Amino acid sequence: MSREYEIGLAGNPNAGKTSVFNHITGAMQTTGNWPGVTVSKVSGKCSVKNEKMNIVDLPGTYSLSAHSEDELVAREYIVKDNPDVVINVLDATALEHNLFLTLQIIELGVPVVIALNMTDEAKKRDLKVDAKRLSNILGVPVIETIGTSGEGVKELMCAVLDVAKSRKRSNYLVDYGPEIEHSTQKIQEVLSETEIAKTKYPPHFFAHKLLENDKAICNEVETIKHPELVHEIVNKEIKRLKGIFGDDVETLVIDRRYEQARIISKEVVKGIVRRQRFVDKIDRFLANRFIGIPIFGIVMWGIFYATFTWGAPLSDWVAEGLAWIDTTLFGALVDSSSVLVSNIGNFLSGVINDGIGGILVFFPFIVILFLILSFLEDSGYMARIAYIMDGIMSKVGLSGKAFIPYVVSFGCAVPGVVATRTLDSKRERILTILTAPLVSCVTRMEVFFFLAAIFFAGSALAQSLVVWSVFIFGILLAITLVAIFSKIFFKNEPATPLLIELPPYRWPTLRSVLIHTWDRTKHFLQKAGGVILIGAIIFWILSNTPTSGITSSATPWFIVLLVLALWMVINSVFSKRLYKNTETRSKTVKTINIIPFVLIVGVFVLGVMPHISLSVDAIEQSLVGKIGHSLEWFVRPLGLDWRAVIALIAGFVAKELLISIFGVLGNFAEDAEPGGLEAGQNPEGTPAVIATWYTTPAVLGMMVFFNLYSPCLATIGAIKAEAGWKWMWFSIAYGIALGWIMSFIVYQVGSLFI
Amino acid sequence: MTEHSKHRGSRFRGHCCQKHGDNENSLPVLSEFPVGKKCKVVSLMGCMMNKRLANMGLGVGSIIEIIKNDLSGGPLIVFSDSVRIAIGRGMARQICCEEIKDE
Repeated sequence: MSREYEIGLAGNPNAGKTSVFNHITGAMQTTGNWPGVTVSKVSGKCSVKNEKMNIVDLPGTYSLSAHSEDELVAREYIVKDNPDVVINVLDATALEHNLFLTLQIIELGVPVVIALNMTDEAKKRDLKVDAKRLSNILGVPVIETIGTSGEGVKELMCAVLDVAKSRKRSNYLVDYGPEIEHSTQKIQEVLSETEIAKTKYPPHFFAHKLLENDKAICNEVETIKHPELVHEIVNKEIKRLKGIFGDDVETLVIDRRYEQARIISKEVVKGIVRRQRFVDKIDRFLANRFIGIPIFGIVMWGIFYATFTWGAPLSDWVAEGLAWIDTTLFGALVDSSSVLVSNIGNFLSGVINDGIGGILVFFPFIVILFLILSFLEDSGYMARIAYIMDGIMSKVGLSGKAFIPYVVSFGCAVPGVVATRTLDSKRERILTILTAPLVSCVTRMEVFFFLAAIFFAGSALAQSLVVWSVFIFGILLAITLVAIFSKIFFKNEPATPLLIELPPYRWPTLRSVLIHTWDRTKHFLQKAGGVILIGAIIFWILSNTPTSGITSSATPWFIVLLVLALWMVINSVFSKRLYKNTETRSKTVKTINIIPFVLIVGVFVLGVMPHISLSVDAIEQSLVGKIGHSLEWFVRPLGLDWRAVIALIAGFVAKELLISIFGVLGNFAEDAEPGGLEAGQNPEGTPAVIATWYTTPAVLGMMVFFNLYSPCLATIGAIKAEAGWKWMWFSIAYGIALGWIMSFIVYQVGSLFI
Repeated sequence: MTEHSKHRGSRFRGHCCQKHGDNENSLPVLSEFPVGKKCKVVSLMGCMMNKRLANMGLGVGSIIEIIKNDLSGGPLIVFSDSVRIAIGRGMARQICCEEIKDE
């Protein structure tokens, strides 16, 4: 059996890399028309002529100089992961610009195949690119492709397979001039071959990058023998070159490389690269100094408006469907004479209808929001937002580019945090990572709309006004905090000026928008089936377990449950030690955990269920009630009670759990009322009950608190991965403090007026 | 380190031609060109974004056309090798250019 070929996919941002990737693998990877959509590497499988390939979509970069995170990711992959072939996707309409990267990839000594993409666009603009000539000059296969339709992708993959088999490399060398070559030679002489082989970099490239004072390569020197010898000669050569050229070597090298790219592009491109006038016209309007920002505001308002007007009827259908399931299926179980069956019915109703159902009702809104956002991203408007927001952002010391993660966070904070990778300095990244989660993501908007619908039931205007205020308050706070944090943590570091490519406006393809939307929304469905389901189950059990009396009979069963859970944990921990490969590990964990899982379900249903008390007045005596009451002091100054405590604790995991929890608690309370309806029988009844819990200022305060306090678990994970432990803890801590203080102010001030 | 301290606090405002001192005032900078003019980059004035500029294709020798330049402020939009790029005004003040007359 032949092995799997490893193929990397590299190219400039906006060269159409991701759509080529999608056509190769049939995967549904997010594409977008703004620089830096693929911010981490994503891989997919495909097979060509029965040979298996693993394709890695690398972040889009202009160069491999390792000035930003994504450039480093791309370079490290090409060097360290040793791919069989690197496919370099070029934008045929901007060849010179794109060839700059190509030259660098070729320099890394890896077999290359070029996908000359967007040839349709080039033809439209009367540009003739001679693929054959380009192939001859560079000594690599060049295949014309059209990323949007997938034309040429098959030929591309055949060429890739050929090169993967022959491992033919290009002999093309950029001519840096005799002086630089001389220095490179000198350095190569000191570097021992075996040592360099360990770093996996080609010696010529290694020496070159040392001259350029490349950070990552300089660090590599420390790992080889006698680094001081290398440093000595490098410094000497750098000084010598500086004496000759009066410029640092990196700038020289970049200039030479560009010169070369220009020469090649002149050779192969026929026709003049003309500017598209219509783009200028649209830009004059959308990126106008005075109306640019108002237009952006209107666009955002339009997104909201469309989301909630189009989503409402769909959402009603979901609600009706859920209510039907609840009354006919679960209701029948609840009415059963057997305690066990009745309890199971209650469990299903509590977890599925009140728990997950409360969130599924919002799913249509999420889908529509992401459809519109995807359309915007693909159209090319995103980069213009960076342009128009630069004025405001630069006042607090960030470039307009940092606003893009904010816009992404508006959908979900996790991709928002990851999107900071395209920013140009560490200072900018950290400041954006810390503040982007304050922008209300769609999940928090769900919670706001849920609360607004309950507490401001009378007026639709009041509802949207309240939600909007909380949303805008979050953004204003985020920008204010950037100013404060940059003074505290990055006192002496200068602001990063704006530098961003403005891609041409494109009418997004339906395929791309749908893929994009699915990519983002599936995450919410997975969450509803995973974390939210588990959260709802745990909450249901805790809220139905009294702390006195009845538990004694169920105690042994609970102990059995604990032991089984421990078993599963031990299984997972041990397999982590045994298997290094993550794939085999997760498979093994799944198989060996089947038995304890089945036992847990069995013990729970047969052992615990019959003992669970469903006496409705017991909720305050349940475990949940106890936990809530013991921490009530924390929220009492905010006009809230133990129920809010529970929702806040659960909110650490996922903020939408508030909806589930209030739904369940509301149901309990409703049932407890004399003459109240049966559980789940009346969906209109619950909100009326919940509405009596808090005063208006307290609810406003709660929304503010919910928006600001600690990002959700998924976002915390992303912050840890992108910024490290320190910033993760800081982000949690300042969020709680800020949320509490702001909520306190809102409540206390609000109480004076209302 | 000296280079770093030199620019500290300057926040890219005004000329910072320390490195190419002889160029100062003798050559116009990118931000001074009105819309529609074409120019060629002669030198970048040694601040930290130079390499980024060069990597984006705005290095020495590249030809730039000004598409948008509000003299009252805000970033510029330029066109270079069929790519549209937005540049912060402060940075545009550090790109020394010479005008190219259209044939």
